[in-house]
Amino acid sequence: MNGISVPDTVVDIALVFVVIGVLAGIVRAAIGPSRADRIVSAELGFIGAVSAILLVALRLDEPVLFDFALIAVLIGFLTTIGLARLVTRDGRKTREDST
Amino acid sequence: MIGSIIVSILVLFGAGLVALAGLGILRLPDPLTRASAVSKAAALGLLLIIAAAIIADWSLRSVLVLVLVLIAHLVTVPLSGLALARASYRSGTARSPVTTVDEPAEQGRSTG
Repeated sequence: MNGISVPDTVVDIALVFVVIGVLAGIVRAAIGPSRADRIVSAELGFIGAVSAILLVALRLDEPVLFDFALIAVLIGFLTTIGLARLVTRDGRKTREDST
Repeated sequence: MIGSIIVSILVLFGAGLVALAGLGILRLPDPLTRASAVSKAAALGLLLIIAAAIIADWSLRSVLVLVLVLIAHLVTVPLSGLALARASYRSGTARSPVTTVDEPAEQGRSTG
């Protein structure tokens, strides 16, 4: 990488922050009462994964990993939409059962 | 040197916003507010990290790829946040008493 060098400790601290956020999302996915909570935490996990890919690319000076981030953003969007559809259909079914 | 400081600040703010979204997903009372916390805080956090990577790796190929990532992220995050909120509203999950605004019901559409 021929640009500005980032200090390694800064990237390490940032990775620790990202891990804290994703761990909070995992806790919410474990205890979350409804399925929507778990999907929200899946979204947080995907955003954390893309952040971690970018930070590792900065840390290792590997610009190739930026392509991974592009693919991960698009796949994460499709996954979130699909999971949201899943929750909606499930909710309709339970509502029809209750009425 | 000054560029290194700017990139460090951007990276730390971005990762701190992801951690803040984790705090929000733990502390907020119902799925609607949690989806709001994730889609705002984490979206801005990832945006700052992408901006830091653009500044840090100033070559044509990396900047092109990262601008594509930026555009894809900016377009998709509000859509997925809206889909999540709609899904959790339609599935009828319990709303906290703190969440008082209910615009779909005010407009007479009970399913959102």
